[in-house]
Amino acid sequence: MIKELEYYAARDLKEALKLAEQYGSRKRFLSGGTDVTVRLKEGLVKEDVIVDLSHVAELRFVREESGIVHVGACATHADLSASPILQQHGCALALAASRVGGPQIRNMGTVGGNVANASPAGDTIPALIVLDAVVSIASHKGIREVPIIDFFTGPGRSVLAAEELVTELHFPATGSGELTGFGKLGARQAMTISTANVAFYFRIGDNHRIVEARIAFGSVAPTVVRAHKTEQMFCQLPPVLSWDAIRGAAQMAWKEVAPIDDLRATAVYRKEAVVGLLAEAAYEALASCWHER
Amino acid sequence: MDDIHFEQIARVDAQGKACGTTAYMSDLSFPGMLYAWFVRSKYPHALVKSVDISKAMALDGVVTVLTAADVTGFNGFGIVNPDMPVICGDKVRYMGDTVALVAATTERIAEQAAALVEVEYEVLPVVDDPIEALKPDAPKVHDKGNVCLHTLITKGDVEQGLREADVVIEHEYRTPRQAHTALETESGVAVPEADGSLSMYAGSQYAFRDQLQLARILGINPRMIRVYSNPVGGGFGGKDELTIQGGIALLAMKTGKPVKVVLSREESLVSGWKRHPFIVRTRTGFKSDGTMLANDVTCYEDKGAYSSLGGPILNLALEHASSLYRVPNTRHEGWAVFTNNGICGAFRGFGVPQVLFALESNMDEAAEKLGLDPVTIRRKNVLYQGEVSPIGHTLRTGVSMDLVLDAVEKSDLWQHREEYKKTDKPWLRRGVALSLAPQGAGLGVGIPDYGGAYIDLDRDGNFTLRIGLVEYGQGTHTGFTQMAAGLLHVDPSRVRIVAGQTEGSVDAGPATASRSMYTASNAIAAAFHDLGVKVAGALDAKYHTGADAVCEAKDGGMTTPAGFRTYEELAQEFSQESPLRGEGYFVWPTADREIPGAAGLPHWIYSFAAQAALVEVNTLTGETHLLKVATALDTGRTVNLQQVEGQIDGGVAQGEGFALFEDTLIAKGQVRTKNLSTYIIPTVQDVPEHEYIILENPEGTSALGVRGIGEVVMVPVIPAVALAIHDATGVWVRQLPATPERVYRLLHPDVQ
Amino acid sequence: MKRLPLAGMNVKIKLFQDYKQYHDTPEYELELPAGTTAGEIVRQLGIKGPELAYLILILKGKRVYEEYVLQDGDELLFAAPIGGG
Repeated sequence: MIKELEYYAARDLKEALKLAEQYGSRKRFLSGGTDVTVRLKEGLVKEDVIVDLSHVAELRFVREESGIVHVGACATHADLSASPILQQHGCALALAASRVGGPQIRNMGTVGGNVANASPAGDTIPALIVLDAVVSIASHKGIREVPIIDFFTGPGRSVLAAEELVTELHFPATGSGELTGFGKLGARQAMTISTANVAFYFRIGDNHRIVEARIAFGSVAPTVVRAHKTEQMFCQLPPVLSWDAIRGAAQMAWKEVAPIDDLRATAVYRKEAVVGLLAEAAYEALASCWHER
Repeated sequence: MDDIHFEQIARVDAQGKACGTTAYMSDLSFPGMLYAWFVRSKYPHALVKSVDISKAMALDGVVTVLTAADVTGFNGFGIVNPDMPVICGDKVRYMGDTVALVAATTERIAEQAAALVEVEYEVLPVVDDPIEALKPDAPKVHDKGNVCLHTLITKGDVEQGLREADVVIEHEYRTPRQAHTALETESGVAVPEADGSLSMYAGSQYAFRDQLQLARILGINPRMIRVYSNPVGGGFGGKDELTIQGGIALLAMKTGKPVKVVLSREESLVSGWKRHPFIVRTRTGFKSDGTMLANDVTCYEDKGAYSSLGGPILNLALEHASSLYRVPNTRHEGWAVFTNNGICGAFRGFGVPQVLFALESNMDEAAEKLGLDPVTIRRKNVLYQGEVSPIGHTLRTGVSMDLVLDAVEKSDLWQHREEYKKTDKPWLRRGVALSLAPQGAGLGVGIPDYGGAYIDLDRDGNFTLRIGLVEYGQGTHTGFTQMAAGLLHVDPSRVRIVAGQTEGSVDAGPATASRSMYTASNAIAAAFHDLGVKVAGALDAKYHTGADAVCEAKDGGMTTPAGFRTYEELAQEFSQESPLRGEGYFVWPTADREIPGAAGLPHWIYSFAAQAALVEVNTLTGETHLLKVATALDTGRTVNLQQVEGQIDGGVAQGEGFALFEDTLIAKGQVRTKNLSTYIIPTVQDVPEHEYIILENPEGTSALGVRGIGEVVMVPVIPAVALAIHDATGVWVRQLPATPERVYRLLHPDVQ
Repeated sequence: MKRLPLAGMNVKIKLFQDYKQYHDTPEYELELPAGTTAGEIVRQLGIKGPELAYLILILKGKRVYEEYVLQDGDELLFAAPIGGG
């Protein structure tokens, strides 16, 4: 049974921040509602005030300015997956958004909600991490910026204070010589919570080698994690499309994740599967610039 | 028969369903209506020491709270054995058991009141494994013990046959607890009438049986109960047994007000019927040329807490445990065993998918060991009409095992399987396999299997077809309309249907067991014949044209001894006070004797399908995608091709779910997959491409040649998927569903 | 079945499922006075309680009820409305 709640629909950011200040930890933001309404139904929402952000149009955008991509917190997953800007300058995020839920969920759910929700299984999070995104956080006191890798403190937990709101994510636009991608393992092709997911960023140098790599895994640790040792392995790869070599580099991921057993899968399987997930996604991406020999 | 034309029309119910205007029983509301809440058990197995309703009753808006003492008739229901209490008085046996019922002015108050019902339990140990439950010291779910049914069928000498075999395949197989997940959950409205009678509006698969079960619960004459059960928002067997009807009937009779309930998906998944998980132990013996010599099968059926149709399901599984292959020596043994694992009942396929997964897997393994092709080994063993089945009865009518096998062999998918199996990704493997299945139709021996229909010539010259069989999505009402229109020689738009209600339609048995189209074909043909007799009689009474004259349908009317009359003219003359009515009744042919010790067996008429499946396995993650399925299906005669293809699409999806995704996980009696984010069914992204091969080998005992096809279309695809995973990767899948992790572990047996 | 003159008639009774326990044999013939109803046979057999509530009477594929007046040559089935695969 859904408990009785006070409900406010904020008209703009200013009003949202005012309501956040007024109700503090009594309030819960709702953006697309794809997580909050499920939790309400399950009796898992302790707050008794809902502040609805879905009418705050100023937070719904994707734009590129001076080499920086800005994504508004209220941009939906459907917005992200269809965005030409992201397809060109932040492909991993568009791909990740396109794998969230099904069309109905993507039409409602927002990237700000996915980040603020801080689920270790959130699909957009590894993509934002490898894109080196920064989270803009607003409150009545002003705005602060937190690198996304520092944003999460545990499953469902983040640095957000009660009166704060995620307003946008921004990251350097990727360009030529930069490859990003995303892979997801779930129970089926759509409408599935990730059993594991992965995003990667590779910068390809003049000699076709990977000179910089960022790899992040979701659903295999209390928060989404960077896999630094695996990144190093990828930077040592010869610039030749070799399945065995790529798979060998991905193997390191086994040591960098700390999953748990749950209803979706066991920890042991997750450790094994993330290796394959990374290897196939990376192979597909590198196939566009490397050739078999 | 062949001169009857079936006009290919869109579904008669398409517009209402597509536009959302169709009112299901759960959409109905009545003035002054109350809302019910079922107070469910807190434990999977416990004694109920006391139930205190005082706090719940005191809540504002609560109209009544009922406990076991308030059941006015017999406190139990069950199609075969009424061992499931409507309200538990002394003991609960699964998490969905009802300990009290609340009726309140709003659903919210009803739910709040339910939380105020105080139940004192004495917790009992849980028994959650059917093999454990058979041990003498296992906790007893019912006083009489945990064996719901034990059946043993033997033919020849199975041990001798296995000794003589060149290869014996011996394995244990396990199958999932599949949920029906009908779009419409268990729901309905019970309405007490001024004369003391009750109207029950609840989607179900057999209104006339619900009527009797409700009469037994309420302790009143069945004719004081009217049941309206059509249309249904999905059944698949999950609405064959009663669900919520008993509870809301008691509340309505007690309060004198209409009482409604619509279960949430979570409550449906915890409390509702499921498919029985089976453990199937097999030893199958073959000669070196692939000839089957013996099959020894032992099935353990996880019954859950109450009987429902678990006995007949076990027996149908045992009937099919050696399929319709030529096996001289068989031993089919089964145990239906009570546990605290929810409740299991009827589900499309009715035990057949469970055993054929085992048998067809053994078949392919034998073929591989013997160096035979999967088609060759099956073709060597399929039975023909006139031969004796593995359980000892002679097959008397329409056996199409060979036809569907030949057809699937000729499918594009099978013929070009090496092309289909190509992939350029090093981590992907593709495989193709096939399987075939018979599916016994109808209720079997020793159970009257009958059906009636009325065709009314209405005042305006159009027709009303009255028949009990409900539409729960199969498309049968479209088929009934076409069959009636074809016989009457009128456009299908002139026939309307009244179905699934005890008032105004005719008992035609349950909409189960692949029996609707076949039963209806004969009942409608009989009613049509009787309408001709009635027309002749009416003309004779007026014009003395002769009572034995024959009237034949032609071009929107009938040729009669008084000349051609359109139906409008006949209606004008004879249907003004009450419609001229053709009544038709049909009794299924059955075997003349029962297989000893196996109630209901054998079946007389079977459906047949063969399916080939193409899967792609990701060897890095174990993910398996079903890419394409070719289905060869014998319809007897196709009435509506779109509906046949629709049944194939849906059956394949449900079979795919069984094979790859679906399982209700229960740990120590507690359901862990309580909604559709954890109970995984295929989405539209997961379902395969289809190749349809429709055969028409007329069923001789149907007036129109038709066979039921609703169940068999989901059966062969299940072993075909498992065997295609083997073809792709070399591993044998012996437990379904083949989830990514399960497949991964098979591929990497070193992973602990 | 041979027809009896005037008042008498022959009726065949077939008992299914749990109703078999009400008679020594599941099938038997009865010679009955004209006008006998199906309900009188039900009472003769002593079917009561939940089993009476769950009883259906079938004549050539047609449901009949207790007030049905039996005819010479009728074959009346006593059964429960069981389903199956």
